[in-house]
Amino acid sequence: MAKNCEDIRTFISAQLDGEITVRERNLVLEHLVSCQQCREFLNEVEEARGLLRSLLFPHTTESLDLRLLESLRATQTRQVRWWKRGLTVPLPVAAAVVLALLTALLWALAPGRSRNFAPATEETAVRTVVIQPQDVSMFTPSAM
Amino acid sequence: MPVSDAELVTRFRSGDDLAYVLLYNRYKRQVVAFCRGYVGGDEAEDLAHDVFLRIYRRRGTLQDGNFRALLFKTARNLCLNALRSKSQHLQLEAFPEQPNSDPETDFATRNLLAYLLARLTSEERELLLLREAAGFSYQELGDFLGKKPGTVRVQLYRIRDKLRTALVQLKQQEQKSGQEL
Repeated sequence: MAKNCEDIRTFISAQLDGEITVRERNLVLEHLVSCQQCREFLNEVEEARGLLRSLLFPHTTESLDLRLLESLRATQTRQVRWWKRGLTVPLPVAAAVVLALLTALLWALAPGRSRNFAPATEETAVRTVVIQPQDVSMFTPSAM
Repeated sequence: MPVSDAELVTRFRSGDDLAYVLLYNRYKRQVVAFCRGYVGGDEAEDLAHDVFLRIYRRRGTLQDGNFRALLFKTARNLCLNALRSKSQHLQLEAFPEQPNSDPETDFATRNLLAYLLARLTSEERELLLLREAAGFSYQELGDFLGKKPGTVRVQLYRIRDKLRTALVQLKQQEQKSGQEL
């Protein structure tokens, strides 16, 4: 095969893909007039391409359509279930958290408890550290 | 004028299922054809189904970029996985001693595609399928495969020449066997 024929066949292949310039197309046409082998190449390569496409592309996609639709429905149902579960399962947890927070708040704000949160002053520090004798006597055997 | 892929992807991402259906209808035949060429006829539809389902489930993370490239990358990955598990399966199972059906009929109807594509390397097959099934342009093929469009052009010519030769040989064999009968 002449070098020129190889170039022309590359152009013929590109022509099938619509990826050829006007200049290249003219070269192909000129060449085909005088080259029987390249004309045969064109016919055979077109035939091979047509056959390949007929084998690759499905005649119908009806079964795929139905299967995919079924799968998408199942996916959506799962998503809805997850969403529902998301509402029911965390609710007791959320309620427990809210309850715990409220209890902690009430305990913190209860009269006589609030001072525990105040910074220790000299007075309170003495009050908590110094143990009075009557306190000690409560734990002595004689007092029991 | 048809709505662009990018616009449909944006609409689909924001919850419009109709946009997904339009994308599916636009590409379903191409994806089935690509998978058919990659793994064979039997599994092609299963794989195409998985490709579109995976795209649907990725709704929230789909990018605005080239949807077609993403679609066929997904298809290629699923096909490669299927081929890997198939080869493992074949290693585990012994080949049947007797073919189940008439090999001649089988060949003519079911294995012609496999016969033609078996003449190509896996790289050549992928390039051909991206062109013939997915309809990629030379520029898109170059971007997808990391090649120059000029290289793609020459490679496609060589691939087509191989297919042409295979088909010519097949015809000659058929003529020869016809004459013998």
